[in-house]
Amino acid sequence: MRTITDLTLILLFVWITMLASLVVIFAALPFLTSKLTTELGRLLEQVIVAGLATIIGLVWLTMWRELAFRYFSRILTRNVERAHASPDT
Amino acid sequence: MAGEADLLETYLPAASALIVGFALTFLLIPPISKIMRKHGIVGTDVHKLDRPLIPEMCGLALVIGVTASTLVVGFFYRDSILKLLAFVSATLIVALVGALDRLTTIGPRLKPVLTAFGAIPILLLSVYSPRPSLPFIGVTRLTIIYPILILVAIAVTANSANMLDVFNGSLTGTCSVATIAIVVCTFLVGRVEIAALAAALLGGLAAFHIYNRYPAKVFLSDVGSLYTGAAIGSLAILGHVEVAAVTAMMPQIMNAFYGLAKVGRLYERKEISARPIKILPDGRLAASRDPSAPVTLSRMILARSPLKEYEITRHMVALSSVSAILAIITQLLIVWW
Repeated sequence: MRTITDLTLILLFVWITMLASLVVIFAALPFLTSKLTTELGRLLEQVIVAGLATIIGLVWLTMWRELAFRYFSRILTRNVERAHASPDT
Repeated sequence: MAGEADLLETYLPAASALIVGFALTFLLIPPISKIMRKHGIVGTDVHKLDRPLIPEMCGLALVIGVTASTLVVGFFYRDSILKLLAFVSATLIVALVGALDRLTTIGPRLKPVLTAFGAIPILLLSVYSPRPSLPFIGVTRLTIIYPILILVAIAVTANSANMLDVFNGSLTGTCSVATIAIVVCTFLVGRVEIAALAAALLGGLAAFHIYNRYPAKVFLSDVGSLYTGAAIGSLAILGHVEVAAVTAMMPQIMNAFYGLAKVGRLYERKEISARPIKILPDGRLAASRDPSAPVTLSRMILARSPLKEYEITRHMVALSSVSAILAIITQLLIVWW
């Protein structure tokens, strides 16, 4: 049960940050860069939005990986310590 | 009375496809497994102490069952024939890649490329809309990038489903739950013909689960696992439920992503010397402590304590159920926005 709860929390984190990233990429970024459209042209604006979206995507993947791997290594280390503490089990 | 007729018109095709998909797959598995065993197409069930030999490539029953039940869907929705044709050809291309991979060796780098070819019928028949709907945003326009995303979507869903086909019933269980979410989501957006297609897949997966659950009597192999993933990817595109489908497939995507992030490249299970799971003398499975072993979803589930094989599958199905609920919430957010 504890494992399911922990992995569900990771799922929830991934889901919420995915939705937040989509909002930032599709709503906030075009709004923030709309000024650039008049000054630099629509193509450059699209390139900037795509570049920033890629960076957000990579940050999201890195956060996801770090969270999952830290959770995994923490549990595994704790189990090893427990095994050392009680060698008869 | 008119309301009842509407209800019947909406749900009867899906119910029929579900029943036909289930019945055909269920009836086809025994003869196909006999043929596979007779021709020596068997694989070792590596997570059992006695390592029994199980008939492989029985996913062919699923492929035939679901493809045949698409005809039933076609009978009800004759004006959606192009979409049905795209679904059938896309999934059959990927199933063929799976069969080739079993009979020859395609390799971990070429397989995702070949599975991406499954997107070609969808692109050629132009049965997609490059305007995906997103929660809190509404309809977006991705005219240039969307066709590229279709190629990626088919390859990712097919291969991530394939990578979760590690335990008895793990793929059929988790993908059945994901498909239930897609049936609900496609009904929510009013794409009843795609909901019927998803119901056909659900019927096939449910029938296969009876034979593939612990202790497995048959294996899907790549032909069935790649087919299932590609079918879910195609349904997401044709049904216009892309974000919900990604959410429903999170356990599969998570599993594939963790493995890739740890190993640093595309890989086949057989080429990894440091196995993520080990069998204990009492038959339970435990997470390997080898730091070079890939971090998979099953290894994460086992990190806390060793479990029986069927218990791991139950954990995976529970996680898929959470994802399915989140997928339906995502689609409701899109519909209500």
